[in-house]
Amino acid sequence: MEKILNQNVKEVLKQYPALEKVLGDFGIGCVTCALGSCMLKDIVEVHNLGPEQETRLMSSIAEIVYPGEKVEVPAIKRTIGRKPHNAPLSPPIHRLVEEHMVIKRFLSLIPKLLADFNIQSAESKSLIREGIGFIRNFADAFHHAKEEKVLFGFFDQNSEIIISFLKEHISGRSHVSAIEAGLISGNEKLVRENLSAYADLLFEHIKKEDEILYPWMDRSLTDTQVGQLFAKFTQIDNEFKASQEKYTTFVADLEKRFQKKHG
Amino acid sequence: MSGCPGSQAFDFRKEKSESVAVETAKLASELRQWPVQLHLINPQAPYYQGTDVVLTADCVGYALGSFHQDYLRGKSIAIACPKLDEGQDTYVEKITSWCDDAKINTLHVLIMQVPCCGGLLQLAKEGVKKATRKVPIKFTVVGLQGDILQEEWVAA
Repeated sequence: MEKILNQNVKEVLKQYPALEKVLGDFGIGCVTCALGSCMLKDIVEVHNLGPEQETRLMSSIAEIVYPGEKVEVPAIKRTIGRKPHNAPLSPPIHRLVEEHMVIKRFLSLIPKLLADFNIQSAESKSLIREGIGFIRNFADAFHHAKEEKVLFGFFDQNSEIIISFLKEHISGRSHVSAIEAGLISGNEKLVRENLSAYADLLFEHIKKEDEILYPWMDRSLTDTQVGQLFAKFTQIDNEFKASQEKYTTFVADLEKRFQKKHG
Repeated sequence: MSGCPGSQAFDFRKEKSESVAVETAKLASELRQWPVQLHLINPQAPYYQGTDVVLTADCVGYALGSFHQDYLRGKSIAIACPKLDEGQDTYVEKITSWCDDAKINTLHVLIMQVPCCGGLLQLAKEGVKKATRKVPIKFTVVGLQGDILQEEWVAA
């Protein structure tokens, strides 16, 4: 089974489409990933299945890939230990999850922003521009900067898992540039499509980080690294203190505005 | 040597190379400093500067067979008894000094499962709360037979 475990998940699913359901049954949502470049063995390790669950998954994979054959099911060689799924995250990683909550609150307002959006209205365009400000200064310069400039530095930058998340950050930035271009050129369709696409991308991205990436990273970090991460994040929090307050208030005000309007 | 030998500071770090984890009948000590008792330590001693600190209840080292290898290696230490020790206000001040003056990296509190030990974690939290510079606190609860009952980071 070594051969299949060392293949990227996109190739594996192309050869054996039946594995899509198997992976899904074990809570492995990588089937929807547009990149699919992570190796199957890395995906299994990152998802932190219990020993019994992992054996059942591997047996299910063997049944599909080698039907009718008696195959020795290997245990995934672990680079880090297992932890219970509900183990609390370390303080710096928990801080990233809290920032996700603010970002998700904004993303949830995008349908309402778009419902009211009129490219002819200066006020309407101004609100979208404020939204771009939130994305660029809170979600990107503050939150994603913590990930890209600090957190990811503790891991192999060439790993497919890290690369796939970085590519999603880049996709997000492209959408934001397109939104801005649409506002400047008066192209309403460009604004609507890209703001919607941005919301969909980020919701999925955040879900994967909260449920899979962050817990995996947290299990991998030593206590010394947690302390270093905590100190660097505290420094960034202090640098961005005014910005954090500004954009947290922006989201709260936007929520109140839409609550008044739509009830 | 003048004064109480028990409280004279010794810095062993330079004599310690990186220990190789080898299972032998006689294991090397991972202690890199003296003193260790929280009343006796100077929180600004060189071996606390920027380091990971283990704050351990007195009994933990006896209960946990692998304490040196699994918890002490590469770290600095202080020990205390939250039940029997007096002058615990000083403890809080020293923990605060670790954070603000020594700028320690992390604080790992190890306590026994007995209820009186919980006070050590409370002291640690209080000390960090009073500090301007915060550090992450991890705590481990050790069973009487040396088993690990709980280990997690304190919510910030």
